[in-house]
Amino acid sequence: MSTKSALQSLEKAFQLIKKVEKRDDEFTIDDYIKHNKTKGITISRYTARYKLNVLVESKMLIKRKILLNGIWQMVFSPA
Amino acid sequence: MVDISTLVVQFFQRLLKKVVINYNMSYKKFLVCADNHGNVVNQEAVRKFKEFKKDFKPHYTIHLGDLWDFTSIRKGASDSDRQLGITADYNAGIEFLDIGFDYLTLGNHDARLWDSSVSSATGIMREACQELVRCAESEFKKRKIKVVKYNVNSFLQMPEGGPKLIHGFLTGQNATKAHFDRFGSCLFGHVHSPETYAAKHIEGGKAFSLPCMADIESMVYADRYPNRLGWRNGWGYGYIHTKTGKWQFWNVVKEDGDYLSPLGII
Repeated sequence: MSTKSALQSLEKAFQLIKKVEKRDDEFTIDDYIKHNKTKGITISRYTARYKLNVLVESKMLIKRKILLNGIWQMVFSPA
Repeated sequence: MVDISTLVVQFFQRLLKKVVINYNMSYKKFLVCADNHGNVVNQEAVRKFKEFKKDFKPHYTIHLGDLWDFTSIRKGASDSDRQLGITADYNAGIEFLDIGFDYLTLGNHDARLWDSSVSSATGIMREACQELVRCAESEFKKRKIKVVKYNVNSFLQMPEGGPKLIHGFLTGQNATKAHFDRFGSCLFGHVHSPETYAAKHIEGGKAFSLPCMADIESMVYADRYPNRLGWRNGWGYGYIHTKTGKWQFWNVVKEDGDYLSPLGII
């Protein structure tokens, strides 16, 4: 394979890699902090992560890692 | 009538002169540059570098890595990163090699291609990167460039010895000293700013960081890095003794629009 075709296949690969979207039922830690803030509860990022992980462990939530705005982030959704 | 002792003295004086000339002639010249970052290259710096090389006629020309930028294949690349593509970047890097290099120490940006060829999450990307790795390695081979991958255990050296040639692994306020502490006498790029560290050691030793060949203004990702204020364009050159391996090195740095070196304005 020539350099040209190697580059072409790489460019094609970029087009094929679809952005992993956050589904409607999913939320990030930041979303959770914001949601609490609207209720008048201020929690730290550490606390938010801890609380969400407890819910994941008790199988009330499930989590997965996706690329959002160039940063790998954990998103949570109801189990 | 010439005294025999005068003739003997004259003979030894001539011999000594020859030895001194031979000693001085046994220095080899080397030219070093780093961090052109593919198509982010600064064309003016390239032109000046080529002119300098033509005049200086180095025995060895060395590239200290980050030949490419490879933003589009970095880990965690965003959609906008991927939109930058790779063709222009790759081709600009190969074109830069046409200047003629003997040694190349691959940098952290170059390593993205080699890393993606083994660890990319998507098969299609991994295979395409593997193919491009083969193409890049064949370009190095074709140009007879001695290459070393980006690894703390790997470095290159000229046949006479002299400084270790590395891309660089550390940044920050005391990067040059930090590199000396770990690698000993060395030349490295990576930090984009020219600095010198002379060891306070009975055996001497020194380390130099090199300015970059990239277009600093185009590197918008670093707009908020305070260290960017120390970034400069330029390259370096030096002499190495063929028998002892003793060496000396100077940076050519662009300041206020002029490329300055101990040789004058270039």
